[in-house]
This record gives sequence, C-alpha cells and structure tokens, in this order.
Amino acid sequence: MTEIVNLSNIYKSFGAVQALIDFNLSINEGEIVGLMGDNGAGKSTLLKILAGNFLPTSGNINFNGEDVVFNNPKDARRAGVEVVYQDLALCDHLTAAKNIYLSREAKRFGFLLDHKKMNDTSQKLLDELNSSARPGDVVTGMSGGQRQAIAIARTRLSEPKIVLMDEPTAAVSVAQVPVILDYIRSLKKQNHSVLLISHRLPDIMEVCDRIAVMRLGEKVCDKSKSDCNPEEITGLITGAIKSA
Amino acid sequence: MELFTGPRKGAVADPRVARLRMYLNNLAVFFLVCAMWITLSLVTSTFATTGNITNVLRQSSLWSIIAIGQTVVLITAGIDLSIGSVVGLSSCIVALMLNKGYPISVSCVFTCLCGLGVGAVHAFGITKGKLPPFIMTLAGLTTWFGVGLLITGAMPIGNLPADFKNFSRGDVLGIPNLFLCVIGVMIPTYIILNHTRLGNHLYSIGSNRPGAELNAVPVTRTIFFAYMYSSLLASIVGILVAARLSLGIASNGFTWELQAVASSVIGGTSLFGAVGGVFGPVLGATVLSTINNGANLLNVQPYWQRILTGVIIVAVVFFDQLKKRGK
Repeated sequence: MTEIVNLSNIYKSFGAVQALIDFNLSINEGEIVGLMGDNGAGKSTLLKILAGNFLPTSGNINFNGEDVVFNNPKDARRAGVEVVYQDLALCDHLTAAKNIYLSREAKRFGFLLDHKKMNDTSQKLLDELNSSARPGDVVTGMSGGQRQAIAIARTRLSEPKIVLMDEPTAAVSVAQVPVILDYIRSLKKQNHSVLLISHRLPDIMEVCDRIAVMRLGEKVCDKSKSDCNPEEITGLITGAIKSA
Repeated sequence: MELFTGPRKGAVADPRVARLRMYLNNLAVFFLVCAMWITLSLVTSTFATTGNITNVLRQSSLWSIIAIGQTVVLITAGIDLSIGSVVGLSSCIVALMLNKGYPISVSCVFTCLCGLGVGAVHAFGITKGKLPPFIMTLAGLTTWFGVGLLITGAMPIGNLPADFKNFSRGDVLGIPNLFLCVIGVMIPTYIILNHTRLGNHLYSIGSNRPGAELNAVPVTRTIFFAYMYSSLLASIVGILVAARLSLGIASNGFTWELQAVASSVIGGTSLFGAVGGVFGPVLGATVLSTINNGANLLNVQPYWQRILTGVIIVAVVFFDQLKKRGK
C-alpha cells in the first residue's frame, strides 16, 4: 500500500513549551487514521504542521514519497492536503460560494471573478452534502451544520491526497454526525486518506482503520482499530495507561 | 433525508438583504444630501448658484477620493490616519518639482510613486512589524507632516504653471475635472472590490483574518495593496489640492484623515471591517462638504461645522447600529 504521509521525529516547541516530542506517524493511501488525545496533547499542532500553518522545529515530513517543507497553507494545499479546521475558518461576511472558493476563486478574462461558476459548483458540492445552505447566502446567520457543510465543501474543490479534519462532529447536531461519518467513508472509497481528530470515541471507532493516541506531545499508541478497545483508549488519553 | 440543515437565524443570510440594507443606507444619506441642498437653497440666496454648487462638488470630490482609499483600508479592519499628512506632503512634492521646472507629467507620476512608497512603509510596519494600523498610521500622520515641513522649510510653494492650475478649475462638457477624477477612482475601485480575487481577499481579511490565513489568502500582499492604494489616492488628492490652491504646503489636507473616516462611516462602512463599498464614501463626502459650505453661507462660526460633523457621525452610526439590531 502506498504511503501518503510519513512524519518522522517531528519536534515542535513554542518557547519553553514542548508541543510535539519526536512524533512519528505514517498514513497510507485510502486509510482513515483517528487521532485522539486530551486537550493540549498536541493534536491541533500536528494538524497545523501538516497543513502548512507551522513549521516543525525539527523533524522530517515525507509526503507522497518526497521530503517536503510546507512553508504556508498554499504549499500544503498544492501538495494535496485539504483541511477542515475546528473553528471552520469561515468568513462570516462572505457568501458560501466565496468561502468555498476562498483564495482559489474561479476567474474569467484572467482577472475577473467568475461568480456564476463559483455559485454553480458550490451548489453542486452543497447538494452532494445534502446541505440546505445556498451558495449566494452570506455565512452570518447560518446554522452550525450549514457552516460545517461549507467547510467540508472546500475540501472537494480539488482531488486531495489527504483530508485533515479537526473535530468535524463537535459543533453539529446529533442527526448530522452520521452524514459526516458517511462523507469520511466516501473519501476512503475514492482512495483519499483522512486524518480525523476527535474527542468522540464512538465516531473514531466507527470509521477509522487505525487509532493513534497522543499524550503531552508524545504518541502513546498507534495500532489497528481491531486491536483496540475503548477502555484502553480512554486510559491512554487520560494517562491511566502509560503506553500501548 | 435532508441534513446539514438547521434553523436560519432570520433572513440576514441572504446577501440581497445585506445589499438592500447598504442601498437603503446610501439612499438615506442621499436624501440627507437632498434635504440639506433644498433647505440651503431656500434659506440662502447664494447656495443654488452654479458657482457655489461647483465649489461644493469640487470639495466633495477631493474628500470622496480619500474616503474611497480609507474605505479600502477599513474593509480590512484597518485604519489609515496618515491620509491628511500624505495629502500635504504630496502637494509639497509636486509643487517643488514643478517649481524646479520638471514637466507636469513627471512631477505627478513621481508624487504618486512617493504615495505608493508611503503606503508600503505603513503596510510594512503593520504586517512585518506587527504594529496596530492605528499606531503605524498615527506615526505616519506626524512623520509625513514633518517631512513636508522639512522639504519646504515650512514655506508655501507657489508659482506653479498655469496648465497645472487650470486643471482643477476646468471641466469637460460642464462636468468639473475634479469630479471626473472621482469617477476615474470609483470605477476601478468598484471592479476591484466586487469582481476580483483581490477584493474578495480584502473582505475576507476584514471578516476573519486568522481564517483567511488558514485558507492560504495572501494576507501580507493584500494589506500592502490596501495601504498603498489609500496613500496613492491621498497623493493624487495632494496633487489636485496643489492645483486647486495653486500652492504646495505641508498643512494642505490637515485633519482630512478624519474627513475620510467620517465620509466612509456616514456612507455605511463598518469600522470593524468587511463592510463597505464605493458609493457610500462619495455620498458621505458630499454630506460633509455641504455642511462646510452651508455653514459658511449661513455665516455660522467655523467651529460649529466641526461640532455638527461630530453630531452627524454619531447619529449615522447610532442609526446603523439600530438597524443591525433589527429595530
């Protein structure tokens, strides 16, 4: 199986705070990896390094067979990393379509925005997600589910190698959780990899192939879902179990 | 099964409503202008004369241009307090060059380049130096005024060529040249704000800067554009002021940064970013220049003009907030 991401010895510190310590993780093509850990374990830092928001202090990122340095989100996106951030990173004053296309707006005549194309494609993407959000509506006043749909629709503009998702089910209604999980499975079917960060163990157990647990910046567990049981994972997250 | 749905918090999601609100605000300001003009025509014999109306339009043209520049900066949730000083400095630069015998075109282009440089300095401090826009451009306000005084020795620079002076008084088919300049600024600004990626990026930064960064919006480059554009427009106004007054002096445009903010805010721009267009600031500038002109005609002490401007700003923003709260 092709390896899409291989992080080796990633170390990241913010001043005196060590956010990631010698972190290793590999993700294969079409694999869904769940990443769990308590608040402050370093999950979001790891995601932001993969998304090009932070440079690691030291360590190596191998992406799709090549050693890479993601200096900014654009580098990561170009390489095939799409992200759904925890806070969704939406601009409330812009329309859904302009949010979906933010920083890769469709153009005509080389410089003018192609409003029609952006609206039509956004409508299609939102329809695929069964969302009632309308592309021409501004995001202010949309529900949590509609906002989540817009953030997810962004990841479908390209053919990503991997989709990073930070707590995609935390801010949506109970009825919407299965839709998001279905979406994650559909990514796998299309051979995209997914790194799913979540606090919700049932979600992780439902969709992931492999589960990694972080504690205080270190990886304390990395094994196939079939080898894990929920009690062990909970113990690893809280620190009751040191490693597995 | 329809999912990803949820309660809609009122109809604000529809951009047509947001746009309608902007139109209504502009319409309200437009009626304010009309009301003031009608009242002034009735109570003074001098307001409704061709000469006076042209005068009002000339003044409002100058303020409109800097207000449009200010609006572009306000959209990014920034502010440009240096505009007045840049107007003064630019009037000095262009006057000095013309005095030294450089052709008008060369002098104007060089002055505009200086304006772009000034804006780049502000943007550099804001993006690379991480200084708040308020502080950076406040420093600019005093610095550029100082530079203007320094290069002119605090003396007015006159003796400008007739062709240069005539431009500000001239017209094409009865439309004052200065007003044509406003249209010349409005059209490209409108296109940039509404129909280009750059425009979308300006609004996105004002709306959610960290989010824009996460989405690979070139934030630094976009902020450079905003401040350089504002300073460029200020230096164009500096040139026009020098032509209008036949004089380059550092105190030209003194406190005009406040006129620019006021015009923009009266025209519906939000000081918190991501809200604003090109028509509002022009209407706002017309309100302010009408107050100015009307107060002069009515022989009101000039101090009252400033007080009245303050009251109007508070009233307009207050009613805007009421509208937002849906009352």
